[in-house]
Amino acid sequence: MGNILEKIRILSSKLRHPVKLMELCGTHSQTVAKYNLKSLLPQNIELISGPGCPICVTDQTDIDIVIGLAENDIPIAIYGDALSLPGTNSSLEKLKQQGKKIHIVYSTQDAINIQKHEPDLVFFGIGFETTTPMTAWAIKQGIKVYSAHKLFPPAMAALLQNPNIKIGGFINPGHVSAIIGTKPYEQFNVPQVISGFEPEDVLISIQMLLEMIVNNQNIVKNQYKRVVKAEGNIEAKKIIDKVFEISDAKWRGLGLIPNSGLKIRKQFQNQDAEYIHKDLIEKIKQNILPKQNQCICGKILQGLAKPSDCPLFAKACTPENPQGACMVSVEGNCQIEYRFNNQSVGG
Amino acid sequence: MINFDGLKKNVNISLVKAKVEDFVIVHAGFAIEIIDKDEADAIEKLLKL
Repeated sequence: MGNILEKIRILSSKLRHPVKLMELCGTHSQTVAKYNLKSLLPQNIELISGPGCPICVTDQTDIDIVIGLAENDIPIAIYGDALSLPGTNSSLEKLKQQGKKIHIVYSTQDAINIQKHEPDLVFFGIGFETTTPMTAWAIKQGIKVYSAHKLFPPAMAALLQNPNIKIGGFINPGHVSAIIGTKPYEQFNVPQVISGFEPEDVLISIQMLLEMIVNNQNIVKNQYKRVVKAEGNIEAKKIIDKVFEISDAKWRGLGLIPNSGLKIRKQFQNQDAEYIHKDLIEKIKQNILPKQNQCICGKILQGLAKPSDCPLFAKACTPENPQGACMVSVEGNCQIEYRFNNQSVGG
Repeated sequence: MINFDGLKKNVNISLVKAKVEDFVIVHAGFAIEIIDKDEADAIEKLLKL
């Protein structure tokens, strides 16, 4: 590892300006925090976390709708790490404690098994290209879904268009890339490295990014070749395309991004919770009031603020009692900061 | 059936053409990619050091 750090140090001395590198995947942010990689880097290299936690970027309205469905006695299946997502007035976790039918699942296969005795079950589909194929597969098996699935590259485009965010290079997600391959990133005129998740992987990726910055190369390189193929997972891409069509989607922090969401195709509309429960969803939407709190998750997701800038961080907002989405998931920027870097915790 | 270094769990392999003894990357209960045999051996060796 010393060798990599030495190379990073030499490359950093060739930089004309300090650079910001953004990790686009929550698991990379966890690696950076867990191994304290920031402390190993020269001062002119700053690592910032981006919108790579799918739970964090899920729009408040989608969360409130699913909570509303559960309040109306529709059984919900959800990945465990999204259970405590705070809605405007409640959360699925609170509803579960009150006896509503909320099922925590490890995979969509579990949801299919539950549906056998809960025919009205709705699976809350959250995630990027990494989890979308599993939802698509389950829809083909007959499950009902509320889709908040999103595409990753449009979020990168949105970040690059924001003049307030100056990113010198991206550490691209590993498992999203295992599905989509390397091609979709070629449209971006910025250095990018698809990275593995071990600390050595991340440091090598930083070294590769610095080499590109120093040599003015705005291309995408693949450090995670042991898993990511140039063409991605063709079978997974096929099944996504069969079941979903591209639509506009709202993201927490980034707002409405054209062509960044995945909507269930008409062919499967009888399994699309948005279609099946459209009248109820309209009613739920009318009752959603704007949430009044000081959470700055939206800014944090864009790298415009740090968790410690938030007045709620580690005070009113903790992983046990999250006030905003970034504190909910283990991949959330605030939860990562709380667990690994917050000096006031556990002392 | 996947053996996670001793922990055994059923994993869905609809998205990959995996066969017995392959090493795979698992995400949310599904195998999403097969790891090259030589790479997998090298990783295993590293982890057991």
